[in-house]
Formats: sequence, structure tokens, C-alpha cells
Amino acid sequence: MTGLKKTILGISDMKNLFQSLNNNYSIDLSNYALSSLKSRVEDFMFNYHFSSIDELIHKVESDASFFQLLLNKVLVETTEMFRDPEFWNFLKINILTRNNYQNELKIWIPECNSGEELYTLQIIIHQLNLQHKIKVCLTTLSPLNIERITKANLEIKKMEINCANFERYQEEGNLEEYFTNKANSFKLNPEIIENAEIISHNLFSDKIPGIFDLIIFRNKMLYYNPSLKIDALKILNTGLKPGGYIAIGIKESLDFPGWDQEFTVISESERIFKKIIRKEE
Amino acid sequence: MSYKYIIIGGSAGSFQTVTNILASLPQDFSMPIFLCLHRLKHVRAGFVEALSIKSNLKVIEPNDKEYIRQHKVYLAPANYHMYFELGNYIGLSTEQAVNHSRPSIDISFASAAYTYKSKLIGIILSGANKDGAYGLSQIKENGGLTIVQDPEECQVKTMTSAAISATNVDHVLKANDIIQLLLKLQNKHF
Repeated sequence: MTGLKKTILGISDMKNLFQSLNNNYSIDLSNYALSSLKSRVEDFMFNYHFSSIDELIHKVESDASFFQLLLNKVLVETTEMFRDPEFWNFLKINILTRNNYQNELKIWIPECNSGEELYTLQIIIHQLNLQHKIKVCLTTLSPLNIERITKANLEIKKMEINCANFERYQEEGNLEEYFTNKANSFKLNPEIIENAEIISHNLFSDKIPGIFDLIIFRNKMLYYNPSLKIDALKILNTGLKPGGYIAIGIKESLDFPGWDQEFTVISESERIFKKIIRKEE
Repeated sequence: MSYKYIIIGGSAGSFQTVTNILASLPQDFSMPIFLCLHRLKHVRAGFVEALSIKSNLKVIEPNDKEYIRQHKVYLAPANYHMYFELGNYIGLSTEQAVNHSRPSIDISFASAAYTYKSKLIGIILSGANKDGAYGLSQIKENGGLTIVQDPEECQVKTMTSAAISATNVDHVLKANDIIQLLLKLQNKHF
């Protein structure tokens, strides 16, 4: 095991890395949740054989493609289709089925590094035969993600988890019906996501991509520190119609200052909130 | 040495031991206790309730960014990793499973070791894989106290044996002796 020990980084190491990324690539990671980010950078250094942060910084500064690799690895993309089946069932029954569809329903899934939440939502939309009445917009920080999300090729190992979740979402049917089985992966049938808009977007610096009826923002704020979380919620609030809904992760809280004046709880357990419609003053 | 935080890891065969520990600690036991126990990923409810039945301390499944308070027991939620941030609050994550586990004991122990250094007590109980061995070694390296349940007493020995071979642990004890040691350390704390 000699030479294979994981390097443990200190706060100053992380600060040096953030400063370098900011100076060289204008990417600011300093407001991400430190503990989990530190752990992912340590894993990255272990896997790519770096023993000090200075070595890593030097490599990243001199090699832009290596920076992209680092960014891809440290931004969390691990999620599952139909994660929290109870949430998806609640959304389907209480919001998507009950809407009157006088106008197109607009849904935003911000800050995605992978497509599982989109695929899940689009499958539900197809089940309800609402694909011409609902428009979903997925935004992602890295342009590299767009092609991957659009291709929708999922590893077999991940599909096992997805299928197990799907069985808890509904007793009948099989998730694989929506996929084509290839040699080492499952490809989502393209018509499932053909109506979705998938664009590159920085939540914190770009203009919001529209005003939406529903924003699905689950388990994203886990990776922000408390101040960035509040910034994110304030920005999302400006992109949400009065009377619209926001869904966050089942272990997250909607607690930016004054939120209880602006939102009512639709489901405490599934963390779905409705923006209050204010009467004109 | 005064310890301020306790973290406990376990999987198969640890539930009864955790229940006994929580039942034996008095209401005025102040050190926050973190539980990182392997559990069914899709079963959200019931575990906190089961652990609470005999516990004198309040058991909760923390939300992300929840502040850590004394007299409380924090159970890592199903399907999330649990970290400890420097502002003394919990950080959850959906990063990939480690040692086939989410929550992973290695992740929680290593994070607690980094954040709490020599103020931390780490305990490994019965379990069926080697998750926790690396994490406990981090607690030792950071000056914390390391305790492993005696493998002879464990329903499944894999986890405790792995922890003992990875680290020169401070104590290998039967569950009852772990409880006595925690009570003694708590009294020293005042």
C-alpha cells in the first residue's frame, strides 16, 4: 500500500485551489459546501496520483482540458432516476394531473450535471400523455454536459438502481420499456426527451431562462454553503410564477429570510412549496 | 483529555448494541452522538422511531445544514452521506456510494476526524463489510479516541476485525464496557 495513501487537504490548500481556478478559469467554487468538496478533490488527487495540492494546481493551470476533467469530477453528478419514488408520485398525482392546462405548463430543472431528474420527469409526462402541454427546461453549468444528457446512455449498474426505484414508484410495468438495451448501456428512447430544452447556464451569473410554473431543485443546495444556498433560492424565486411550485430535496430546507411570507407548504415530507399569489396593492 | 463528540458506525448486527448504548446513557449526557449505520436506502421512516423507543436522548435525522447541539443523537439519513462542516453543522450529500454504502462510515468518520480532531470518540460496532476501517484510522491520526467492539461479541465480525487491523485502536471492548467508558469520559468532561 506504500505510496497509495490519500492526501488529506487543509483549508488553506482548498483556498489556494479556489483562487487558482478563479484566476485562471473564472470559476468560483469558494462558496461550495467545503467538507464534501474537499473529500471529492482528495479522491480526485488519489485517483490521478497527485500527492500535493501544488502539483494539482500546477497541472490544472497549465492544461485546460485537465481543468475540465477536474470540474467534471468534483461537480456531483450522482443521482438516480425515480430517487424518492414517493416524491414523484406526489408530483404526478397532486400537481401534474390536477393542473388545468389552459396554458402550457413550464418546468425548470436548474444546475444539473446529469439527466436523471429530467428523464424521470419526462417519463411521467409521457405516462400522462401531456408531452404537448408541458415544456421542460434543463440548465447545466458545463456545456460538456449537454451532449451527454441528450444522448441519455446509462450504465447497466446505474440502471439496476433506477429500475428498483421505478418498481417502488409503480407496481406494474418496467423502466426498461423506455430504453433500448445496448451492449454495455441502456439508451433512453429519444422521443421521451425530444421536447425538452437542454441549455448551458450559470445560475449565479446568467439571466434566468424564463418564468416557470414549477422548479425542481432537489439535492443541489447540499453542495452550496449557507450563503450560496440563500443566493440560489432568491434567484429561483424570481424565476417562479406566483402560484407556482418549487420542489427541493427531502432533507433540505427552504429557509431564506422571509420565505414563509412568500411560500406555503404543499407537502412537508416531499418538500414541495407553493409561491403565494399576492393581491395587487 | 476532554472529548466533545461521539461517532458510532455499524451495520449488520449493530442495531441491538446501538439501542443498548442509547438506553444506558442518561438524559444529561451532553456530548452529541452521530450514528452512521448501514440501512435500507429506500426506507425513509421508522428507524429514528425504533431507536427512540428506549433512548433517553432525542434522536433525529438531520436536515442538510442543521446545527449540531448537545444532548442530541444524529442518525445519518437513508441514501445520503453525512459530513461535519467547520461551522458545526451537518452537511449531507448524494455522492456515489462508498464501500457499497450510502451513508458510508468512512466518509462520516473521516469528516468528523478532520473537523473535531482530538475532541472526537469513534466507535466501530458489528458489521458485514470493511466500511469504517479507513475512517477510524483517520480519527486515530487526528488524535481522537478509537474504540472497537470486541469481535468475539459481534454477530458479524468483518467490520470490527477490519478496523482493528487498519489501526492500532485504543480500546477493544464488549458493548457493556463501551457504555461504562462513555459514562466515565462524560463525567471527566465536567
